[in-house]
Amino acid sequence: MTDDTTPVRQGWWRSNLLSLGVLAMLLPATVLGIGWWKWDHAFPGSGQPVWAVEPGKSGTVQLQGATWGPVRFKEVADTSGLDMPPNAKLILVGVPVDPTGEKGPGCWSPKLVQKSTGRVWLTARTELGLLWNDDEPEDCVPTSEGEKAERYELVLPYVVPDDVEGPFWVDVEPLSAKSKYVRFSIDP
Amino acid sequence: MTVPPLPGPPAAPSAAAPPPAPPHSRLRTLGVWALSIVLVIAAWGLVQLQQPDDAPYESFVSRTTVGEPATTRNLAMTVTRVRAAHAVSDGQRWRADGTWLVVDFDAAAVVGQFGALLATSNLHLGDRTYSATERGESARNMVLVTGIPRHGSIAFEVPPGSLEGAATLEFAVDYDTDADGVIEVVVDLDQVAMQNEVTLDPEGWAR
Repeated sequence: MTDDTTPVRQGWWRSNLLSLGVLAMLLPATVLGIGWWKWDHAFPGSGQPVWAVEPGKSGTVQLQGATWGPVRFKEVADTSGLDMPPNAKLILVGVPVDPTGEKGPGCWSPKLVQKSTGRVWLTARTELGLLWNDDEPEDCVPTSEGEKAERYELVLPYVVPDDVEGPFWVDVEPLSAKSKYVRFSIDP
Repeated sequence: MTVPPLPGPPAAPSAAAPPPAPPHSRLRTLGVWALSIVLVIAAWGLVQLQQPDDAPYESFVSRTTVGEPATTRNLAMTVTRVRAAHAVSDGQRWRADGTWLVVDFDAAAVVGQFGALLATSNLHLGDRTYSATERGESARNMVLVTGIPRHGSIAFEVPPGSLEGAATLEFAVDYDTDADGVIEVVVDLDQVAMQNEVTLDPEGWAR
């Protein structure tokens, strides 16, 4: 034992310098490692749509082996012949899809999102009393074996309540696009 | 010459006369005991306040009655009519005898229809739970449109003679109702007249 405590303390820091250095590296590494792991599983790994890809001046988006857009949209005034609910309007959206590769991309059901509230609608073709029509696909068209993907247009009828005002987003999320999705802004 | 005094503890207590505990020491003992008891009582109080382990998974229940609307996170619905019959038909190809409870309703999604179906539709009768029949064309698993109600019927087959007393209908937009909204509709079955046969309403927009 020594009476002077200061040299002892310096000695402790010095003798544990290696462990302290390792600790100083391991602590941030633990935080970063766990953080990255959680993020990877919560977002890109789980396929949750995180990053919107919006069109530039051309109105088109390149994503997942296809050129998407430019978007067309209108509120349909004449809904005769359709099974329309009371107090609702029909918003029709067209999204051209031009596959750049051999196979066209698949996608989740395209969504209409009200910007101000985040409320989401899906296409209501069946509910409007319309049957599936190959010329008016509601979903991305898969490319059959032995065929080459061709350009087509998604035809998306959305039925929304009368009092729901735009602007809206039209979100199309291709399958396995690493959390990226196509997002168009419309205000019919 | 003077002999220097021997070094030693200056205030060494005399072994012969141990000093009696000073009064403030007894007070301190009392204080420690009092604090311990307070802490034990506080711990008991915390345990009383604590929710059960499965509390985070409990559903948020909106209770209503027939004809009254109810809304939860992503489901807005009104049970418009409850009927009971000895036979049920979907108005098309399916017809079945038995003891049936038929429930007509209007239902819509509130915030989003991605993955929103009327997936949970149960009848709690006594201590039993029945799910809506999968037979026929019914509104079981009906698509819910955001903000625009759709109308339909579901049917429950129950043991003969069991349609009496109070029953509860349970509706949700997912099979998993953990920590999500559930609509419960209380039905007095004694007020529901037994008919010979009823037909399910065709699914369509609520008008």
